[in-house]
Amino acid sequence: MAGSQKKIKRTIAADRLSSLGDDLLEHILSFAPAKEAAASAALSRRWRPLWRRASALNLDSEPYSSGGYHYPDAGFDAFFRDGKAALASRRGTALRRLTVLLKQGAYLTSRGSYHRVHDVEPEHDARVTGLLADPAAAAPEELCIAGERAYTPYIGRYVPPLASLPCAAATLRVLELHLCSLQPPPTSSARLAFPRLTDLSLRDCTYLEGYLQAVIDAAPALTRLALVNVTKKPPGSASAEGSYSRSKPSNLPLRLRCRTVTALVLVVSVSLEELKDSRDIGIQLDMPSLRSFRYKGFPVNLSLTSGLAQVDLDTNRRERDFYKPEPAARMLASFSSTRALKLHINGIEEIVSDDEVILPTFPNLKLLEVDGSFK
Amino acid sequence: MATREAGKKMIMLKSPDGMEFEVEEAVAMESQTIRKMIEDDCADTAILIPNINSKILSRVIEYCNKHVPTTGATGAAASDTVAPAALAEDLKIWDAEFIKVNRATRFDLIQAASYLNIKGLLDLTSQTTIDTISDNSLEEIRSFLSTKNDYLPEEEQTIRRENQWAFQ
Repeated sequence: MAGSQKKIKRTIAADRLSSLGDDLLEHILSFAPAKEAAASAALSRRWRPLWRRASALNLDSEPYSSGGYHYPDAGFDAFFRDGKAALASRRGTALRRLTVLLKQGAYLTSRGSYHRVHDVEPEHDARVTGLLADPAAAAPEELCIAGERAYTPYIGRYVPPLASLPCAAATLRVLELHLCSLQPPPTSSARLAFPRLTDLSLRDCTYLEGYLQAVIDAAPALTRLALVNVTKKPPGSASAEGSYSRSKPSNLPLRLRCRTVTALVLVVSVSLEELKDSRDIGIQLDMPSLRSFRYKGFPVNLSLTSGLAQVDLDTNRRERDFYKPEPAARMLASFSSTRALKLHINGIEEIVSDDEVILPTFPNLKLLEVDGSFK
Repeated sequence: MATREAGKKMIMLKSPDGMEFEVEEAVAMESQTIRKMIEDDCADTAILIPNINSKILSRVIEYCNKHVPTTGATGAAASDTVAPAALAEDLKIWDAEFIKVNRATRFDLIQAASYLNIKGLLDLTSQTTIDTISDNSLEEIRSFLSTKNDYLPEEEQTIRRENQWAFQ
């Protein structure tokens, strides 16, 4: 029978998976959602201790959602119950990485109010902060928090309690935030401090003006920074009616300073409207230690303080046929010290045909890679 | 039209079944095991990779080729490079295609990634393994792993009680 043949094949392959060493099985378990990892203890005697030795714990609220749009969603009660139990089991174990994935229903207590009035920041469920304050969450080196895409760009994002994370003050080296909002918590005046943070990665996040700089300033050991579609949230309180909803989300202008960062990834999206409306969409980076810079987005005004060694520039955009933005050649002028340059461009005319721009010389250049179409 | 500086250092990797693969040193050094050999000067121009057949080794090299960071001419800049977040989305799509292999191949890749110490590949194969096991009952996972339940009934009861939340 075909079925039993399939079974035999499966068993042969599977048999070998069990032959892996404990350390490898622990590594594989570090990718499992907490509940499944914990359940593996019941497989056999050999498996019993493995999940508590895995280096990572993943708390994912998605399977708990009851799928509707009614808030609060009681399904998430079980998420917090399980999350607490999982963390309790990991107290006293070497937990290196903690991942928390939050559906809106898991962190918003109600949605009704902000659905009607777009400027009212909905309240957060204190139980999320409770999870992050568990003793087991006080020692990871890596923390990854992901929220959920909200209906409006500024309202309803998860606001991680950056100033009161127990691990931030002691052990945290790597912080990854996805679909979060960086802003001071409304009630606490605790100071930001990330004494050991070396890697900060923000994807699809918003930040209250000034707060991103404050986070960076609080991380004296920061060497790697990645900002992927990170949007400034205009200052203003909830009472300033319509202030958020009227202003469009924007990645630019961006001004940052950091003395220690050596590698920067910047992925910027700018709408054509913005490009037309304003020339003030520049990037100003005061990063004297920066050695590696990777940029993806429209060519924009760039002012850079650093001695770069390698640059990866991708300004390849189809939309630019409709509008002529800042010439890529002007961006190149900031990179004249670099030893390696990798360019992804639409066509060579992007860097040579503009009369007003004189290409800089690259006295140190040892590696050049160009990727584009040529007429 | 790509311009590349000539004279990149190449390294020969040999599989036990006698195939030879010439790869850039930077690509080979995606493997921390090989990197250490090279840095400790234990490597001649050819390195024999034990236990990894040519079919798997060529897939591993394919992975490393895709994931090697763009570095300066020195090659030393690799550690400066951010986990390439900008490319992360593109790479994820590539990874998803790359790992569409049968269980046996995936198992070979786990072992190869572990021996050669290639973190990205080990993470990818581990995550995929979890994804294929998830949503199965314990009994199904036991049969998938050919793991025998060697608990006494009362022991299993205790474990289920200790972690009751995980079995609801």
